[in-house]
Amino acid sequence: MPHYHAYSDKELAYLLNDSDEVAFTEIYNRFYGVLYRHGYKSLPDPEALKDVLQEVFVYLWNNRGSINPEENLAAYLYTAVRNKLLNNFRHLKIKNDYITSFQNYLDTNKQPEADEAIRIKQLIAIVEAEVAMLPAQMRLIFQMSRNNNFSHQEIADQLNISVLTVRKQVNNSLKILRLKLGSKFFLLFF
Amino acid sequence: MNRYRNGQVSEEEKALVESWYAEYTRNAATPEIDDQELENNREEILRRILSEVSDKRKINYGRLISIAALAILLLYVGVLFVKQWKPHQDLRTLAAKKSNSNLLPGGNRAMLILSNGNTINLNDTKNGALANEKGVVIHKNADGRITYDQAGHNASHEANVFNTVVTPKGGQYQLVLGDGTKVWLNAASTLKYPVTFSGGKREIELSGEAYFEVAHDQHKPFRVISNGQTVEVLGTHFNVNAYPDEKVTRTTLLEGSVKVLAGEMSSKIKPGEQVQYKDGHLAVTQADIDEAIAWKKGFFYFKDDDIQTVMRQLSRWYDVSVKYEGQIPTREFSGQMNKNITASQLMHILSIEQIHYRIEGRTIIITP
Repeated sequence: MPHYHAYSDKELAYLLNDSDEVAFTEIYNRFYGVLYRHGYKSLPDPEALKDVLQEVFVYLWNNRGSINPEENLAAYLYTAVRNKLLNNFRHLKIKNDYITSFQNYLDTNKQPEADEAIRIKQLIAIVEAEVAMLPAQMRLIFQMSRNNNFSHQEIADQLNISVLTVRKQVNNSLKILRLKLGSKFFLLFF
Repeated sequence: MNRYRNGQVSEEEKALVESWYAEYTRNAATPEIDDQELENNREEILRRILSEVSDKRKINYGRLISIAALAILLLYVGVLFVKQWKPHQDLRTLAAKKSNSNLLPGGNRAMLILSNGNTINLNDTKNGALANEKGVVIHKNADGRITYDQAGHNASHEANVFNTVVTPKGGQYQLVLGDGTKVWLNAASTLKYPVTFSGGKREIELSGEAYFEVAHDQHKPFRVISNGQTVEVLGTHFNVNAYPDEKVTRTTLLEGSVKVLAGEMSSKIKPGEQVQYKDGHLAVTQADIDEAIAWKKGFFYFKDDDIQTVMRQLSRWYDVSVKYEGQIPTREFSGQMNKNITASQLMHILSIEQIHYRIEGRTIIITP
């Protein structure tokens, strides 16, 4: 049985692209914690926030065929949540806070960051800054996917599975990637 | 801000709003969120997502499932699964909770054994030509089945070139034989067949379960040999359930006509009938077509079945072994279930019907 925790974001994105529901659930479980904590800052209304996250993930599933697995999945999700929050802001109870803050921001005459790529990098840093605050299990799963320095032994210990399983898993995922890239390569020529 | 919402912003304005957002969230106080609340909401949102996503899928499915199947579903589901089937959410919650310890459902998995003894794992291989058996090219197609293409005139007509497809527990596979006959092979089954059907007959061997759509050829009867019985047909649709661990071998006819032979006996049946072969005897009964081919449509289907019959089917689909401790429950089960749920979800449903169990690794233990 594949152990999806051991897959990288990119591998999960490839599987999602292929309509793998378990991969989708793993993506949700992996990112839920950071997205919820981050979303809560500008939308401290659990019901509204639940709606936002639901919409984002339903959108992700419905568009699974058109996402590009080579792009940063985390960035995709963070910007999707940000855009949804900004779009939804009229529903917010704290609309006035928002407007005041925005006005203050304009008044300070700070130079907005013009480069979208840099804005996305900032966003990733902001969202992931609070990972340490997550409950242990959520944090572990998230950090394992971020930190390539985990050894097979460490992953096995954390997930309570054998090293052999982890090794097989990693090999399998490499195979999946090769297969995927292989078919792209094929398309290039024909 | 309003314009941002409507998507009518310039690049600079967009940058402004997004930069402000970054600033705002960076400076916002660290929210106080209870771990338990976080976990509860995780489950709730996941459940909502899955149910929204699967609702959409069900609409697409709608056309595929015949009205008859739906009617039967309503009837039998009423008997046993009504409480669980309707909400659906119960299952999903459970799935969310147990997602780490799930025994996942089966899928398209099989092994192909060539005439020279070489094996090809059909799960891993790419689509395209797999092998060439004396001029016959074996292809794996995009829709996940294998076909035998008689490559022009140089295809050999040697009778003794056999291939075997073996599905493991938790695997099923579809193939098209050299004569165009379509075969759906259920889990834990073996099908041995010649690469080319030469001579006056078409003969294959089955252990386990398969559904056949035999290509019509009145000069060459098609024979399926299994568990001591032979099914003989000219061209027709039928299902053979011949698992070694089932007491009865069942041949169910959907279209055309078949003759089942065992020793000196033979029975000819019409569509909608079933031949049951047990302890050397053949008996003809009215068939429940939905029951016979539910597996092919992706369902479990039970009708007044005892727990052991139910568990044998689970065992084959989830690749688990089943043990009984103490007295075996005598209750009978009827109902229909999608096969894409996990073993723990299915066991949870049975538990509501007073079946007690525990799961240890890949073993399900039924307790009194």
